Amino acid sequence: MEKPSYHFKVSPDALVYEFDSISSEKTIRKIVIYEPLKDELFHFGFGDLTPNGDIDYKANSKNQDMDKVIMTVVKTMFLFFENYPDKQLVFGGSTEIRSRWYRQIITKFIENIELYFEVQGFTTDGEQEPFRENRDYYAFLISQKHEQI
Amino acid sequence: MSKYKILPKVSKSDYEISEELDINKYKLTEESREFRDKIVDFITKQKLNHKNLVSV
Repeated sequence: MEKPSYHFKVSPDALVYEFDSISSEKTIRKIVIYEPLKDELFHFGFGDLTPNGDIDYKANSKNQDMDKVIMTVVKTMFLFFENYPDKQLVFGGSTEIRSRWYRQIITKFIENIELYFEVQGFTTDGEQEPFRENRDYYAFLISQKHEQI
Repeated sequence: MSKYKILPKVSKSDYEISEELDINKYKLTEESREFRDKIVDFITKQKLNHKNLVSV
């Protein structure tokens, strides 16, 4: 976890996170929301704060800092699961670009991710399987791994 | 017997807790809301199907 990340704010219940993505061109307020759904399910939402205060999950801001943004988001996920270890996160790409982005991220970090998390992929026809690289998934499900004691 | 894998600790210098942040204060754009609802419907349906298959 030595890679650079942004400093972020977190709500007391560890469900909402805010940080600024900063470049020489612009500063974008990023929001991560872990939204409780039903039973053990939470929705992972990640987007930009719009000028009128809404959160846009479809934003593709390209602020030349993808790795730093990803590391920041990963840290929010660690904090979330530290507080809610028995929950499951569901998320998907709001656009094709986003879906590819999530798939690329998971693929890039899969060795590290798999140390701690189970990642399931859902295809558009409802097939559920452990995440495989180079496979198109509509949605993802993440839960914390167990280990034998 | 099993327990959850211990996650890497996020350094306290990486973040600050803010009372101002409250999940109820945020509003999604309409498109974001529709997208979120679609994903949630899809997943809950899949999990229900999976449960039904397992119980058969």
